[in-house]
Amino acid sequence: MIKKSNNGHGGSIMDEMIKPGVKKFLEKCRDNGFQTSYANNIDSLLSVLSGWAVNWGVKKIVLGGLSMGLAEKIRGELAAKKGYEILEIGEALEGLEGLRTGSMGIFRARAGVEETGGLVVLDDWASNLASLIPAYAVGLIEEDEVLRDYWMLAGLIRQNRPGGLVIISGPSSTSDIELTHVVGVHGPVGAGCIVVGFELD
Amino acid sequence: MTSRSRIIETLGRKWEVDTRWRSMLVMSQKSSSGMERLHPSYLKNLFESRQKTVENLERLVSLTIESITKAGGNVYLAKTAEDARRYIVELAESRGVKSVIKSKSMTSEEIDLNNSLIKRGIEVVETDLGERIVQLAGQRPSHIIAPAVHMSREEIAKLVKEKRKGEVTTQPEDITRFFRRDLWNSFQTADMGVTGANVVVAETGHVVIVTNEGNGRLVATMPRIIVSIAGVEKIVESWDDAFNVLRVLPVTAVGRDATSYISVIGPHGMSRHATVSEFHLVLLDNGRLKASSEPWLRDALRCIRCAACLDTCPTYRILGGHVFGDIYTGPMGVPWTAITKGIQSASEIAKYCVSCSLCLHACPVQIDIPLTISWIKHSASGKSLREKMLTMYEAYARMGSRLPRLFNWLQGSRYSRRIMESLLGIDKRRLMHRFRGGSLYSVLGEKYLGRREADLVYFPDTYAAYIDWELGLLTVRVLETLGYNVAVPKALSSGMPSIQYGLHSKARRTAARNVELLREYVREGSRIVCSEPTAAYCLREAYPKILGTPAAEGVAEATWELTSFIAREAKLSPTLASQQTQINVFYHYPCHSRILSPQKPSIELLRRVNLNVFTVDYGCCGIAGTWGMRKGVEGFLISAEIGRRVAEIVLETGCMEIATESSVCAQQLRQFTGLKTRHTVRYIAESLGIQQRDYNVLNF
Repeated sequence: MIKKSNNGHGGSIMDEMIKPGVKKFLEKCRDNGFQTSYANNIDSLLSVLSGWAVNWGVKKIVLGGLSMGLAEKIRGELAAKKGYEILEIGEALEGLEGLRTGSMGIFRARAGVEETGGLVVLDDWASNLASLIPAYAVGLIEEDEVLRDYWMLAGLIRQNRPGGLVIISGPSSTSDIELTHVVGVHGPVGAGCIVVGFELD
Repeated sequence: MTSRSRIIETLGRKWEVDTRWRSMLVMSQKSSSGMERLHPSYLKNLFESRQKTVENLERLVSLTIESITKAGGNVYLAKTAEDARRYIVELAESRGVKSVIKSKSMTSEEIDLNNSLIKRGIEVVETDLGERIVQLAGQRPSHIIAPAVHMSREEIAKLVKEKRKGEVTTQPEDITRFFRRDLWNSFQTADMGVTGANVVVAETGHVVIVTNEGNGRLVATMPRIIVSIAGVEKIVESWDDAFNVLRVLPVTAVGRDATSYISVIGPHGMSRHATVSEFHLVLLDNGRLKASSEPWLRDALRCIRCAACLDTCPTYRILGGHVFGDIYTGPMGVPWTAITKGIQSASEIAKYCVSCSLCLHACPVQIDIPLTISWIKHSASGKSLREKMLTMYEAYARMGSRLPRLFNWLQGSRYSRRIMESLLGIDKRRLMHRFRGGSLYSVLGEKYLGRREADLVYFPDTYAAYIDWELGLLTVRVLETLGYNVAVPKALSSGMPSIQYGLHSKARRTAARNVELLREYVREGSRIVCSEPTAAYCLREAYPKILGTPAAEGVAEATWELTSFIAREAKLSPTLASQQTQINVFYHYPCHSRILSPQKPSIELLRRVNLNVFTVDYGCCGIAGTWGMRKGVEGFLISAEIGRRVAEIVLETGCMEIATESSVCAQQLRQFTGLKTRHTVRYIAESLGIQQRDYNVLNF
């Protein structure tokens, strides 16, 4: 029997298709404050992105580090059909301030860490900016890119020797005023993570 | 301002003290529950990685410099704080820097970077929310990971209005939104970004910073020049070592498995521009390399700055980092002040350590902060006469055991308490134990004192030996009823006051005498049992470190806390439990027991003897041996602030009795709750049908 679980934004997930490690990863991401979803094809991915954009009330979408093919598909769905303004992060460098409200960044993460629920942006200034500046940021990874723990990531770092990297484990937050937890300080006020069951690049 | 007036002023700010106490309670509970969740191998791996750094510090500094240089990056090893300041200021001036944004960095506080840049006309903006708040208030951080924890939302909202002309409500969400807007312009226009470092990875030359707000990422991304400042002890050899730190750090700091962001800056930085930016790593020595060869200071280099020791420290919870601290605050601030500013500076704040050892229990890298602080007190010049007199508590108790009526009268009379306060520095408001008269040794006689072959050696310490021998007698009776052959050789008291006040020569003499006496029994296969947790702590933890001899190690290995021994080793018949009337008892967990018996065996025992046991983890009750007896701001006033808050928690449970094992904790709890406070062994004795005298005349 196929169990459908609602991701809250119009997309559907077929639970038994998701590998156990990916499931645990998504659970951990949710604990960390991410919106999460699994997409087994491009239509499902576009549907989730569209749903989240509506839910967050964004007007602009900023792409960073995505393949040309994927970027085109996102433009085709979200710009042409839904009317969103879509920019590559490189085009937006002079107007970063305009991205601080009402925008959603979509970036390519190169790995996920199952044990702690984090997305890894590896040596990629465009993904770094798209995950940092906009009001909301959504990271995309392929299911085979979910690593068990940090020490598997250590192997990846040694192998790739990246210039820089970021591990993102939730939206920006603080507890600096009377230990009250507030989401959205300098980085995104909302964060999303979508694991896909197909090739992204 | 003198430390006395600083304490009085702080205690007068009731809201601040209340808030800090509650906040630290929450933070330490998060930290300790996080630690309990962690697989022990993570803590073991973390320890090994940090120890490797300490043992190979010079080599790892060279390896880091080599990795960064090979990758074409810039790295500078600064010998002193002044050296580091000069390098960064000259760099800024030579590149025409007009404004600097900073993410949180205690190392930059250590080198007083902000003032040096401001003096050269360069604007400096802190971007961590807490750091920005204290910067606007003209203060320094009071806590290393929660810099503005001492300020109320009302104070912060007022500050925003006065200093930034911002209109905000007192809601943290509203204030946070204001700073998000207000600081964005600084992020966009700054020429230089300055970050700290949580880890530097020698094998690749990467700098790792851990943040939640995202300011660290913006500081490392937006400006054209990025400078990271890292103490050399932050270096780890490999990425595996780095993740050993990064996996545990957020758990012990905030109780979470991960912070929102781990940013890794490579030898060429992490600029928003696709082109190469200018990145400089300043590695700071400032006493660290020298400390790596100092036996008592080197362990402090393992510190990962998680602040778990601050959160759990009873005096820090009351006084905060502006009193108990220099640049580095709280317990870890003491050795770190010694490393960076010298022993004498450290001794100024070392006096706020009460040797409860909760920081040792909380520390994920097992730094024995209390003993390190004791060594700092020992090494600093100028011991007070009153502290020396407090180390003679055993002699006082012996005299009291001989002249109980006189001593009980002296302790009860308002006039003599005033004299005691002026001469001995014992606060006249402190409730004292009453002497029963006679000593345990005289009551037990030669049969126990001279017995050479025994299953167990009972080490009673001051209270059970001289103040109320009945507790010692009951302990012996309970152990005999459980089938053990017990010897009670005449030992010195554990000597904790000498350790607490840094009189190491005296502490060594006491330790050596006791080890000499007990080693013979241990050699014959006896085990040592202590009814006082502090005595067990001295024998098991402190003596081996103070003496460093195999004999001390042998005694340590054979030592047990009484309740732990009964729970784990003795056969306590379950049928005995029904003899006890079921009552509600609050269990207070003494600080030293946490180190020795983390499984809380006493609670298990009390439940086995048919009691309803309640407990709350609030940490230290605030007396800490003779410290809480000391006059006014030297002890009692701070101790009373803690005691009152603990009493509120205990009384809320509705229990009418308190069980604990520490005689001084009992003194404190009795004074501030007004409840009958008894040693756990008394409940066990009752359940075993052992007759007890009237304990109400005494306190424990």
